[in-house]
Amino acid sequence: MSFIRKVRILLWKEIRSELQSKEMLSTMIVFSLLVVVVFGFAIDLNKELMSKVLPGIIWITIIFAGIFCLNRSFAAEKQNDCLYGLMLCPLDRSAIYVAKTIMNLLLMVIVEGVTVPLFFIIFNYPGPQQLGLFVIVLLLGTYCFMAVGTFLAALSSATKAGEMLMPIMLIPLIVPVLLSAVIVTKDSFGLVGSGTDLFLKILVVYGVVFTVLPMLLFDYLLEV
Amino acid sequence: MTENTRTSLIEKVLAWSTFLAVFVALYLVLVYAPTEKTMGDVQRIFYFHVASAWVGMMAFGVVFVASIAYLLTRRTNWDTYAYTSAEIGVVFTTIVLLTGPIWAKPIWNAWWTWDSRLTTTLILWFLYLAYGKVRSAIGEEEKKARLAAVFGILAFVVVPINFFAIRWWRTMHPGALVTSKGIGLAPDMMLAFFASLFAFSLLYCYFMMRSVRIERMKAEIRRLKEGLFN
Amino acid sequence: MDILFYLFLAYSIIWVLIFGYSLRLGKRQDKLQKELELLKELISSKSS
Repeated sequence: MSFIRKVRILLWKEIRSELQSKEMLSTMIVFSLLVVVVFGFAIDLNKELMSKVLPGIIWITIIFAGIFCLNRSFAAEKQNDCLYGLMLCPLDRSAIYVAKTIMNLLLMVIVEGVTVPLFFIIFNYPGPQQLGLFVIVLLLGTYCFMAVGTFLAALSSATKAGEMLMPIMLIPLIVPVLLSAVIVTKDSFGLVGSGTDLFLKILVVYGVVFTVLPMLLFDYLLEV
Repeated sequence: MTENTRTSLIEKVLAWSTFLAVFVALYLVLVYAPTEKTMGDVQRIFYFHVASAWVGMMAFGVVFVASIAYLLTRRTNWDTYAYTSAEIGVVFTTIVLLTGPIWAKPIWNAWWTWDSRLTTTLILWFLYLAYGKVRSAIGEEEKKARLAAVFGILAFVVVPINFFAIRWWRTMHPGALVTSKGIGLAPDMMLAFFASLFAFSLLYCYFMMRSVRIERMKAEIRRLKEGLFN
Repeated sequence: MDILFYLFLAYSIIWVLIFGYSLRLGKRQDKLQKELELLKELISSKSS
């Protein structure tokens, strides 16, 4: 079996178990909508302030929803020791990581598809000037976030205080992603003049590093 | 007993030479080095600030290398080095994070700004605190060492980002000390800086030696206890 | 405030931290040493 085929099988398993309950997706969407509402209440924004703050608000919402999603992704495998079952499969263990990452990315993209347009509606802000760049940075940033996050979710699920530990490890590691993503998002709103291609590059490099490192290290993580 | 006496002798020599080096460095920094023209005497904070930053990064580098070595060889020694080095790295990074604002207050007229260098240093500090938390959240020794090593490798990614931060993002933080154009300091100041760097490196070695011995004692106690109850 | 005050503040913080850490190591070591000796005594009394 080729690596891609293995990943496809695992991914299909993930999707089916999600489709059965639809628990994760619906909860995540409700949660992120609540975050939107909270921000709307809490920050009284006028039009000028809005464009400065909106990129940050969007990314904070993504991160909250993402942490939610990541904490669930390996917790489900711990019930009935499903993780051991997965480890016994004749697969490279890194395939498990890749499948989980893609699944989390899919969930996040769906959630973003619902909430991000809502942000523009609720805050009464015209859409981003460069829609293409905006979509690219959204996808790239979310990928970096999920690539690091899925790995750390696996790590923390092996510890006692897993759900509390995960954000403590994750947030410092993704601050560089957050910094770069917010700057590029601002650029897509037409706020920063130049020099943002550097931050796109940083995001790409970060994405590559955090794809390669977890794949190398995942075997060590899942030893019995 | 000879092994013990030899290590304690080395430790004593190290302790005294560290003491001496710190003393010389203090003299060079506070008396010998000329006063900087624009900033005045506050600039003297710089020497130990930057020395701590370098030693802190070096300590995290040791965590990285020892973590890799642990995963490859599975020798407990490497895990001990990684753990103790992380703790000492946090101590030195704390010094960086506290002395920085004290320098910034009279110069920038603010304790803290959300500048790239400051932010990434703070992140580093949080990361290696999290490294300690990971360790204390796991009971079994082998698993603790293995997962901590994995995280130690991952966390090191931020160290080069911290190093290059002042080149990538726009920043208020004073520039790189050693650039392609050479070293940007007067020779007298350079001497004081390297003296403080040397003193803090010795201090790092001294702390390492003592912490490693403490960890060995812990392991010995654990071994004896297991023998007692079996 | 006087500029020398900041210099003084910074240097006192540095040395407080370093001596504090050193002291903490010493305390930890003393505690472990005592425990170790106690254990050794216990073992020797058991085996005899």
